[in-house]
Amino acid sequence: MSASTSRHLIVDGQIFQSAARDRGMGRYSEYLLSAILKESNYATVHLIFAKKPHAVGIEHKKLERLFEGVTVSYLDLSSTTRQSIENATKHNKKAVNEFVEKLRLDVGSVDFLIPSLFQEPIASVFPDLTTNFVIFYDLIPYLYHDRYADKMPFDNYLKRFRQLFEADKILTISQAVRDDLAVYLGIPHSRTHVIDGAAIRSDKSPVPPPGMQLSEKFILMPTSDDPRKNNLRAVIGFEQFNSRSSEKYKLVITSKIHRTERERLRGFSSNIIFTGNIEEAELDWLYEKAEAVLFVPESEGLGLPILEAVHVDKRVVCSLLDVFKEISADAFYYCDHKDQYSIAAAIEDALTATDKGVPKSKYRQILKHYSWGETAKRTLAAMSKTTKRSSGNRPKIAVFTPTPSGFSAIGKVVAESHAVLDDYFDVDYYAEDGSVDANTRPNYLKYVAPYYSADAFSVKSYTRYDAVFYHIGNSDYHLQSIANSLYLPGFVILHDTNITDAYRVMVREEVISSERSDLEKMLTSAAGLTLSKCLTSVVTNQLGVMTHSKYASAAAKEILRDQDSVVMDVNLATQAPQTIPERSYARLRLGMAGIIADIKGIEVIERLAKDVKYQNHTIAIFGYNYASADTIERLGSYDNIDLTTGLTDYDFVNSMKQLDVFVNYRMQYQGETSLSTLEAMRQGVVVVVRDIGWYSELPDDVVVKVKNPDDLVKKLNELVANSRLMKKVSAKAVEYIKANHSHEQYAKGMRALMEQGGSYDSVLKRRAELLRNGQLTSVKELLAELKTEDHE
Amino acid sequence: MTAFNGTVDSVQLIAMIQKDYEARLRELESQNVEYAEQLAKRDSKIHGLNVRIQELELHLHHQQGARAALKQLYHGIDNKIMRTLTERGERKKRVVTTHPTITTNENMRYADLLKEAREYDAKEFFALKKKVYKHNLKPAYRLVAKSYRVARDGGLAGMKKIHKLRSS
Repeated sequence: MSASTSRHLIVDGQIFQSAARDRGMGRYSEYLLSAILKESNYATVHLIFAKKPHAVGIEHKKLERLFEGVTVSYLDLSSTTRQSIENATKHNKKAVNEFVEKLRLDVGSVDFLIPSLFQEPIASVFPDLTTNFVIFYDLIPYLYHDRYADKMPFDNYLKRFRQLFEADKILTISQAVRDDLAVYLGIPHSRTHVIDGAAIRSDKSPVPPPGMQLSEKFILMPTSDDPRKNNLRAVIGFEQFNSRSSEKYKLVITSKIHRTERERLRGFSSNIIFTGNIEEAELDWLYEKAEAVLFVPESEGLGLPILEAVHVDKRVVCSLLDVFKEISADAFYYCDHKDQYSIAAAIEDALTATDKGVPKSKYRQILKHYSWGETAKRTLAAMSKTTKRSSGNRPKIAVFTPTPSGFSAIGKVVAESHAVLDDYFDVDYYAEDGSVDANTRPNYLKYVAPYYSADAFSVKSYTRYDAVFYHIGNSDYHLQSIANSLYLPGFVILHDTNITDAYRVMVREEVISSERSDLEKMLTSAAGLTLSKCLTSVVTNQLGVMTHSKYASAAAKEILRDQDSVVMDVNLATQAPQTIPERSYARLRLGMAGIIADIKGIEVIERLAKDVKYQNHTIAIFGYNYASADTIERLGSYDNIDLTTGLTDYDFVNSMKQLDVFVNYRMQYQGETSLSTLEAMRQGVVVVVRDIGWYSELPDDVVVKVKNPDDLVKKLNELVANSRLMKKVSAKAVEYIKANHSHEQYAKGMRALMEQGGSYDSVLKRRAELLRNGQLTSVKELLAELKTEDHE
Repeated sequence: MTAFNGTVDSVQLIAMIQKDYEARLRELESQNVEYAEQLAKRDSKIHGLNVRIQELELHLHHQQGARAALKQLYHGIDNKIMRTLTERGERKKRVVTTHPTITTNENMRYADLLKEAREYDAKEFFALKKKVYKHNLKPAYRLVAKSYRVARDGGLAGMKKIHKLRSS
């Protein structure tokens, strides 16, 4: 009993009016809501539905009988079948706000729950005055966007992220999903809570599916026709095992599988039985009669089939996913889902083990935690502790950023910072594309925040903001940012201390003349700058400068000389997951990531690959390929080198997560901070870095620093022979990232910089004020002002 | 084989043979390990290729479903129409050929150069900055694109309704 009697709950029940009501999310929502009603003491519970159901065959009477003790209301709610998601959302917002208002309940006493946010054609929205919750099942379509984008209304999917970012608390069905939200969307752990889930069992007695003759032993494979279910490899793995067992077993595959997929799978095994969609009681029967349950998807939010198998004491063969290990690290037969041999071996282990039973005590522990009662208690506990987020008095700022879907990692960082930045600022983003079209990752930022093209920024826009932040880097993704920073003073965030290439592209794109670019180079040499190139005009024209290292901070101060300006060093933001992979350090996986090019230390890699000490270890190289075909072929010929190119963000993070040691040896350093290094550190990977610039500033116990390539080989040799040292450095790295690189410290840094920026050079400040107040409206006035500045 | 002469007694002989066999066995075992390793490596490579083939096949398969093919065709045509409209109707960026002039000489100090740069930037971006258009497309193309989108979405909604009525 966690909610007080003065509180009220409103649940968006539209999922029960959709085609998904009998599928995973629908069933999960129904079981959870029933359990919540038993456990909670909300004064009133309201269930809202759309007047028109979203699927055929759903009667109002049936909906009203679903839950006892709730007040059912039908609202005029629109959906994406009737209008665009923007219009439907707008319409529904008005409807739910009016509904809440009519209830005349105390402000702040009402909780609003969306059990399923992403189901088409529903357009769920939060009312303005309630404390808002959403159940979140997985981030799979986002993570596997290359496969899902053309199989679903992907824009609508991304547009629904707005509700996710607006929620006061996101209730995730596993820790792995919670970590995905933190790692890929930057949503802080304080805004998410794990509620888990439980097995879904019918309240009827199990019955065999009609027409199913099952005289032989069978393995049950609960799956669906989804690209990440890994059906083909599962079937091949099964067949490999079965051929060794004299074809004793059948494989029963549940759910509706497309005809072509069925035919195809039958091509690999003649021992498959497809059940199609079946009733819950029939599925229960299959679970009870199966010899084992095979469940080897590439990714899952929780893994209900595993819990259902545990419920009936069946052995489970499953993929080695974090989310399954979260249920139990050792109660199941794990396999590598990408390897059919591994799947076959795990099935064999499960079915031929001398101990025929299941680990009962482990299963009991699992069921104790994963029950609907406990899930409801966790949900209610999280809801009772949550208060409505305040969007009170936040300064209005503009942020210039590379487009998050582009090649620039800075765009990714900016997008991931938004969830927290939004708590501190009312942010508008001005994004710019590079010269080459890229779709490296889905751009959700444009749907969750005001988002404009950087081209659209003008003096008029400038006057609307309390501050403008320019992300400055050395690529074609920063041209507008640099150009605007040169005449509209704001706050620059330096990602590179050498922006010569950006100036070169600005000349090429006719943003500036070649004389202007030359003048910038002259400024660098006239000032005798040793730590930066082409940064003088950008830095001297600002109200404040933010850097990510002492190295870059020194570079900015070298430019500013005696100018009384604010230079603030703030760590680049990232979010550490809560679950860090456990590592045995027995057979090591050493990695090098980023741009693979002939000049980038290939000889060091080959030296290691040939070394006898590394024959039992794997050297993983992954990233963008700029090396010659010969080099790639040569590297591929080493048995202990694992080379992967063209990775998605998700592949990159996963490849990094699997490493024990990551080598980031920069041959050339230009004042940058390395996101790859931070990525590795947050996953507990031991990073070996060159002792230079920002890398030198990292504490000595969180990374291993080396002076030169010979030192690198020497230190690596010492490291691979010392697993205790690796464990220590790994733990320290995670601790360091959690304590020093949060999005909160980044947002606070931006705010502090803004507050202190007022003491900047009075002439520039006056010009900024004149521009901001719209007092300068023509170039004539501006030139007159510049002349006044000269006299001063 | 170890050297043997007539002076060796039978116990020594057996010991020598045994030692010799043991050495041979070790040699064979080590060879065996090497072969096994080589086989494992080959197996792993074949396995890698096998998995890749399956991935490609799987990918191919997903492309093949009639519905998927139709969807793809629809998206392909839709993309082509929209791309053509966008490309043809796009406002051409006004090429800024005139930039403010910069006068520098060898005697200019840092402060003078900085002043020159600031003056250039103010003129360049404040006065000569490319005009920002509210819309990316020329009016005629914008109208065509809008009409196409309305017709497309309306048509789709109609088809969905017909499908619903038929199946109900």
